[in-house]
Amino acid sequence: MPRPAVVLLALLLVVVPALLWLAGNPYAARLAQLVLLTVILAVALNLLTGTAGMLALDTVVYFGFGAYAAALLSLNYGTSFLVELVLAGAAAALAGWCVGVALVRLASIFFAVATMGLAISFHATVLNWGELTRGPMGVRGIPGFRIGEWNLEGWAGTYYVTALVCLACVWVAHRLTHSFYGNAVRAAREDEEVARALGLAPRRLKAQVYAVHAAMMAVAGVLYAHSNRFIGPDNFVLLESALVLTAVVVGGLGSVAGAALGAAILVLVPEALRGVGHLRGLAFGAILFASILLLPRGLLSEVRTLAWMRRALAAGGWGRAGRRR
Amino acid sequence: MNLLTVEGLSVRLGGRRVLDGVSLRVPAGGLVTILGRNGVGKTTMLRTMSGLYRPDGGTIVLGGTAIGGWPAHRVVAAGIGHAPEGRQLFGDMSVLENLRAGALALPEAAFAERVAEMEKLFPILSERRAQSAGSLSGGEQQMLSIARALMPRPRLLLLDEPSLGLAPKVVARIFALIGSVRERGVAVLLVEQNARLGLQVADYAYVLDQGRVAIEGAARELARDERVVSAYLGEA
Amino acid sequence: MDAFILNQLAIGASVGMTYAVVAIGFTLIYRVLTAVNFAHGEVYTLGAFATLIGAATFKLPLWAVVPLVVATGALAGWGIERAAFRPFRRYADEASLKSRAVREATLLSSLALGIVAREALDIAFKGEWLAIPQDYLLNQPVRLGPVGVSSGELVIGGASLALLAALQWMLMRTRTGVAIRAVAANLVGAQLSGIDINRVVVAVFAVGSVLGALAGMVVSLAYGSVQSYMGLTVVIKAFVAMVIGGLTSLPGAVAAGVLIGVAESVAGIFVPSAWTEMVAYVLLIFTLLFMPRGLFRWGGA
Repeated sequence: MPRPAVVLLALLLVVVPALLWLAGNPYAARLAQLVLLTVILAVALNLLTGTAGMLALDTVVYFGFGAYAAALLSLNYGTSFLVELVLAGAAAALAGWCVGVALVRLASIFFAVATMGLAISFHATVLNWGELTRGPMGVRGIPGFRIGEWNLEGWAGTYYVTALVCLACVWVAHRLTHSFYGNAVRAAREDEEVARALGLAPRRLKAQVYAVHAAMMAVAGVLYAHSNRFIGPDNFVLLESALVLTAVVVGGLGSVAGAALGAAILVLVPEALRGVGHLRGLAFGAILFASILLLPRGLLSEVRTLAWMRRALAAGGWGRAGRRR
Repeated sequence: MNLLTVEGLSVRLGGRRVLDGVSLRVPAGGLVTILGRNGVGKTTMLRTMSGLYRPDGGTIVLGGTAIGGWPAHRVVAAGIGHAPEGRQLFGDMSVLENLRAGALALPEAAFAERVAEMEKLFPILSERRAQSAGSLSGGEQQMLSIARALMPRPRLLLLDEPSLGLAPKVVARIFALIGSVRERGVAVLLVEQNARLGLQVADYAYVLDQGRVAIEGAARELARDERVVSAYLGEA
Repeated sequence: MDAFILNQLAIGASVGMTYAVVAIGFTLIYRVLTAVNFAHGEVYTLGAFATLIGAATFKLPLWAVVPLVVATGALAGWGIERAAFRPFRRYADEASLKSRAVREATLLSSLALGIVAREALDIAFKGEWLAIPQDYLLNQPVRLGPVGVSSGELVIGGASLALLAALQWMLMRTRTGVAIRAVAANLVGAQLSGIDINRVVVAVFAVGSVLGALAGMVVSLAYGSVQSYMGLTVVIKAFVAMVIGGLTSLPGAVAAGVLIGVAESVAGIFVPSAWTEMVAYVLLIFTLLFMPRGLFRWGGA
């Protein structure tokens, strides 16, 4: 059996683009790219909410930060998106670290509400700081992806850029989740006191996860700005945070594959119900509610994916254990 | 005639079998004690009878009605009062409000009558009426807990470790009061870690060990039983 | 002090009273279940919409709108409890009733229910700001010495005080009130006293939601319009009021609600009004970080 990593790479870099090319439908390509973007967000939030157990509703803060940074940098200074990925990711990681250090000591629901406050404050800020963000009108005419003279604005270029960044994020999330580090974070989630007794620094771990998640979200934001070509405050409302949270809950808190699956479902299901676009928010709410009630562990539960991953690692499935064989 | 008949009661908590087929009987107006070390399932036994935990197996019959698995408020209405471990009073409410909460179903007149009855039984409570329950001494809190359980005129009173954390003098008074509760026709099932005390007041005793009844018998005989003496009465 | 500042303070206090009334519903639920009802803001919105429908569609007199709003609130509270909270209350002992898993699950379920209600209203009413008919509005100017306020602001203040007094009376003097306080004080003791926890929880949700719906009603009458998202910011401010007030203290939540309203109003003197929305979050973060037990809890439990 081929290694899962090979299958994943082949799927995202060969099979899906081939299908998109055969279909010749720009809308399908846009949809595929949107799925990959949402996968980045869901995988990042899953690190925080699933693995580290911190219920957060501030996805739009870092996602929006990345998007606005990319839009304004490229329009005002003509920067390349590669530079922006690094800058926005680093800045979000730094900001996330500072916010994380402050917020991780809050007990579950208080953390959730504090992050909700951040999300609403962020929206108010982009809406009202017109001189910087162009206010409610949003930022138009953001250039597409380019590296020097190499134009990647077409659907294939956009898709490949997103797919590569998405794969990188999934790889990072996978390595963080299925490792000693992941075990330490899960221990910190289950019981801070016990984690401390084991010689871990639970709050530092949680702040680190928060910083990593912020960086990934910002990276997704950069990609979003350059592929959507337009961003406005309405792209970064609390409901969008709830969407990503729903994806993670539906997929299974704590499971990287589950988060990716949940993201795909939440992008594609509303699209399947085309023509009822205004039901989107309602559908997310209903899916989240049904999932919490009927499927509290999600489609791919953490326990099952961890067990599966351990078997895969032991069998040389992927990652370091595989290479050692 | 037995007021309470428990047959083969089993309870699992968090995947662990805490009670494993316990059977016991309390005759009407009788005083029965359950003895045993910490963590053998004595409190679980009482909490299950009261409906806080669901039994996995076995039956609980009170005066001909099977009450196993009933929610707590229905068990209380069926006639079981429970003065729990740790007293579980409403700390920031007054003594009178604690009694009120114990008998919300009673109409005003009947409530006043019950309060008068309780204050006769526990005179100290009438002095403390308006004081908050949290400000009472340990002994007074224990009395309030018992009084609250007696408010709706139960047929059976479950008493969980009434002596815990109290000075010997206070314990003696509480146990004297248990005697007067019994004189009023209320059967008592007493859980006690202090085996000597339990055996002194009870007619019949069960010794619980690892979720099963290890020894049972008339209290007077158990007090002389060598197994009980060596394991639970220590120096005697 | 000049009249302008006094005016701002009066307006802030009136807005703050509505936060306080909404916060009470939160705080009651938190006291009983240690859980947060994120659908509470939608109850406020529903109260405002019930007012709109009663006034604009059925053209009811104002006194008849009140029972409609009360019924809406009670029904909403009951529904939220039934759908989003009871399914997670599978065990009767304290440890599992108040466990982190149950708290987080109910947070998500009530959040989801709130989204569903909000989006449904948004679809049904096309997301627009809808005007309450003119003759129902409470916007006559009233002069109190140097201070000029509208009748709506006075009604908000007066109605809020009356509601809080009624709640206090209910908690202290009625059997339901005693049962609620008993459950809040000691869950196990309450059950062993023969109190049906589920009924008390439903009562708490109903009472808190009636308060929330009535707050939505007076606000819509004072400011003249309703919209499906109007509950979102109010509920977060109410949550902030609960936290600043010390989580379980009703007087604390009321004082904190008024404090937030006044702080917003005073901030409005110095910064553009759009930014005053953030005052509450600044207060929240400050409280959580530096006074996790709340402003109004000096020592003790």
